[in-house]
Amino acid sequence: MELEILKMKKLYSLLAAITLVYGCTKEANIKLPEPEEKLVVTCFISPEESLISVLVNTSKPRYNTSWQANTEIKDAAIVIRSAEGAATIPYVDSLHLYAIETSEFPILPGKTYTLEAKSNDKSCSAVTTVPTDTLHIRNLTVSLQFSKDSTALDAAYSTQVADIPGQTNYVSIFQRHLLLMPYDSLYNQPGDMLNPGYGIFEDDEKQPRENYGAFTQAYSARSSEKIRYDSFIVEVWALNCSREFYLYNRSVQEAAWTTGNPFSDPVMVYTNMNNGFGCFGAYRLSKRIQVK
Amino acid sequence: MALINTFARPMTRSCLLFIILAPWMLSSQSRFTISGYVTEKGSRENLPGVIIHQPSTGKATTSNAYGFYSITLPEADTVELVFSSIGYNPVLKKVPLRKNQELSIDLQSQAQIEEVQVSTSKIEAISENVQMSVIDIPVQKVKDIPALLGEKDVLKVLQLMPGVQKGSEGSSGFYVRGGGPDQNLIILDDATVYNAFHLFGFFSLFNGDALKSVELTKGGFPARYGGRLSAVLDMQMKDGNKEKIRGEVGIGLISSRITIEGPIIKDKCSFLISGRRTYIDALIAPYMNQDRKVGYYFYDLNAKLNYVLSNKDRLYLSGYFGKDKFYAKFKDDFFSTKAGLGWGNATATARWNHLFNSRLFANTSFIFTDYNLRIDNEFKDQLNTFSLLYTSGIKDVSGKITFDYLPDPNHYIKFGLHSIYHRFAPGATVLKSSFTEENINQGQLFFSFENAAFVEDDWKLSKKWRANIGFRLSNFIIKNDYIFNPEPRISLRYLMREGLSLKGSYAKMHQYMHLLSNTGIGLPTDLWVPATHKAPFMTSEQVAGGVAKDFKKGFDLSIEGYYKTMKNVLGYKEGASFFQLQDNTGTITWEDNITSGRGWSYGAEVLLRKNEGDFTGWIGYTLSWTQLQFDELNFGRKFFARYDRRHDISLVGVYHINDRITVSGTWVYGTGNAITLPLNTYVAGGFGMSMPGVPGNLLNYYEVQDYGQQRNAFRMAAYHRADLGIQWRKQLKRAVRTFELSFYNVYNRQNPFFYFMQPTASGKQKLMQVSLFPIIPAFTWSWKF
Repeated sequence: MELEILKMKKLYSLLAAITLVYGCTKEANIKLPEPEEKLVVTCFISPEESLISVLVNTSKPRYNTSWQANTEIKDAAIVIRSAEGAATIPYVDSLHLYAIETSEFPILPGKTYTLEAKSNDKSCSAVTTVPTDTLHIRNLTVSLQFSKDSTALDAAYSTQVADIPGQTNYVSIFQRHLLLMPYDSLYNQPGDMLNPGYGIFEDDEKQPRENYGAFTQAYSARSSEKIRYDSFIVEVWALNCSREFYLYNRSVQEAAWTTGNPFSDPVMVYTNMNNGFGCFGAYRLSKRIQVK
Repeated sequence: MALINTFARPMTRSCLLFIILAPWMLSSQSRFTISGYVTEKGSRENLPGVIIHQPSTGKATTSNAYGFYSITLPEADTVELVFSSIGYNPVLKKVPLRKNQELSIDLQSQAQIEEVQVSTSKIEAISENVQMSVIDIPVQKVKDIPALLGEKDVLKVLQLMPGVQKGSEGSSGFYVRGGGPDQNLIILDDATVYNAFHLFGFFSLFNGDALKSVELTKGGFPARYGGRLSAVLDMQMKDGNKEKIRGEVGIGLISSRITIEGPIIKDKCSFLISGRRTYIDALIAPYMNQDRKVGYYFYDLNAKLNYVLSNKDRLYLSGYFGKDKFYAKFKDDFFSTKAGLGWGNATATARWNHLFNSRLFANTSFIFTDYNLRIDNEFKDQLNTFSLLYTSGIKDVSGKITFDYLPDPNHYIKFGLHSIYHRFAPGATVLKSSFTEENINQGQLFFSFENAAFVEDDWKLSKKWRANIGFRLSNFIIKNDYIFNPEPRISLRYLMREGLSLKGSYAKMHQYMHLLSNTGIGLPTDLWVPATHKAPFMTSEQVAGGVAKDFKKGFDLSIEGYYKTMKNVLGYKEGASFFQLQDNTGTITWEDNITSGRGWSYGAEVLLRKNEGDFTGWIGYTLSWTQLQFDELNFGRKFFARYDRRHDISLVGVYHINDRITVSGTWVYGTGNAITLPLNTYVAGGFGMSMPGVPGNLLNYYEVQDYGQQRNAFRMAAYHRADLGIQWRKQLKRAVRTFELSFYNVYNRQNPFFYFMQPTASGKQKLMQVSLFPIIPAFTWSWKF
């Protein structure tokens, strides 16, 4: 039996050698589209914002091209249009973006806008409609609970947003809180805390949802020191988004979140740009602050 | 009027009952039943699927899974019955029929006699069988066909049949008529096997030495089967030789196996035990040093014990136990790490056959099955220790009772009950670190009941028409939800003329569990989960039609077309995976990772077989389309399933040159799998929040990929491969020795396994293809005694 195993070892080595010689990696021979660079244009507009800003760069084909870190385009012709008129958006060096004040080209609720971009032989365009209404932040509940010996503090807050009835709501919630306290009272932490929370949701009309963004944060003091604070501030922004805004930002988030996970299914990043990538979307913004 | 109705209803019911029962009631006065068991000569192994027919009238029946048959015929001085089965010499028996008779028959295997006689008797004529879309694989055929590394594999032979596709190079996973691997019910001695693969899918669990029968149903499902949408693979283990101690030993390149069977009490009690283990770990161990070790092994064990308690009662105990283990250890002066991946199945079945009378047979089964996966990883350096443990699994305890009732040769009625208690553990994680507390994601446990009542009748309506009409009522209970679903089943056959028939079938199926899979090739990391509100149960409806033709000299041809719809098919959301514990909104469960959609599959299959003679084999061709649609994937648009395969061809030939030498060969061709490839990369601006500011435009930038805005838009290169094998047999003093030399991928086709990007010397990115198996010679020795 031992002899058999010795023979097997030799044979196994031979087979491994054959596999290394013949089992191989080679250039794939499958039909792929011709490599083509496209414009990538991203812009979100809102009546509540003071600036219309546009990011413009180019995509790079994955095959038969060299990787290029900087694909920013500064000489593109960017035009925003509505039924009322049009404006050219210039490149602003300090922002590394194309930008224009909304005072020069107002963004109005319920109106439809077109964004066009052209650079050399490449061009793309997209259309979006600004949501008519802002979301009403119905309730912002904040609770702070100390442990018995005051060495631990649990902060919790949740946001309730009133749905706009009769439609699918695309909601994005931003939250942050600020615990203002004397410096160095927390274990290994600076004197003030900031924890932005962010979520984006599709709220189907058939299954209305009102509770968004429940958030908790636990603080503990160093050794037996008691936690002291001056104030706890929570700020919430609720965005009523256009469908394009929702689809694009959700897919970009998912793509970013799963980068590097070899087991993940690929994420299709949404675009509404004809003949390009990126997104032209719109939103309405409402805000609420609670101080405790 | 109300009064008339009051009387009319019972009257109507009585009349209907009389019409249904009249043929049996009237004829029972002058009819008698011949019943018994059909066994193999020399081993007394029960033989399922044996045709018992009366040549003068054409009346026929079939032995059931336990070899039991029953045929009721008019009183006569003598009746002639022919017992025939593929691979066995037919037996003609003349029996006086003046009373009910018990007649048990031994059939001699053609492999046991020197010259194979070509029989003209009734052997598995596909034009006569009402069932369509069924494939029987003789276990001997599995042993004849060349295999990767010489490891004979039932599932890989099934992949050579039309309508059955493999997942990827070397994989034993199979896709039936557009259904995923999770939609196949794999049963071994009544026990469900949840992960049927060793070595990451390259080999199946099923050791051919321990198997007696293998049957795959692709459509037109009889009512006794349920719980999956696409296919039922029903395998029976051998009972064990009741006359003599027999055995088989095989030594192969990566594993060896041994099977021993024999009587404990002659003709009454027998056993079978069969084991297999790989020795890749032992072979590569000398090449490893103490600080760097990698290894892998799998083993499996099949065991069976059966006892003939009396003429009317038989008891069978059988079990399977198998495990795969991959491990790696690395160590240097600064850190050490060790990782392990293990998975295993265990099944146990206790069955009791009871014969109430010569026409009513019952089988009662109690079944246990367990599948578990364990991934562990530990990293240590001088300061810290970090460890991760991930476990998942499923356990079933079930009971099943099935009755076979054969009132006359025109009816074969099966009815019964089946109840399964499932315990799902879809994934629990324990993370530990020296600096942080133990972080346990316990994972949810789910408990559910799956029940079914079924009845079916294989009904010979006339000489030309035959039907299998069935009904299954399935029930699923999870938490406080009770779900009932009716599942009608019907198969029809119209015999146009001798040897030529038209067939049609309709079946509705429900599946109350899902397999979450990123790869679709049956990796052990795939998770079994129950149907819940967020992951509703799946439903399929399949219609099929076809032609079956028997030719002379053992040729037969079947052509079938099918159309299947699937509802609530599960898939991972974009970006999700089995190992994802958190996203940007916090801790998530498997239910947060999945989305449900619909599927469509349709196509045509052609199978031309030669079953008799020195040369046997088949040609199979499948033309098919499979599409899926999920609201949350691919922007809600339809896309081709990864395993959508437009063309699939297989050629198989086995030639017995003489009783010492057998040569065999296969050739397969398949359209490449549908895949998603990144075409472009770009920087996407996202809406974000500034620090410490407010929400704002274009504050986050991400590098993302464009996949052509379509999932699975591209095709891998076509797959094709030829294998050849030659077996030399030699009769030794006490055993038959077989030496087999085989070549996998004879013409060294570089089939794609996966693709990846690689920069070239000039800095350009190229799409590269990795091929797994070049030409691989293999040999095995086996001794059968």
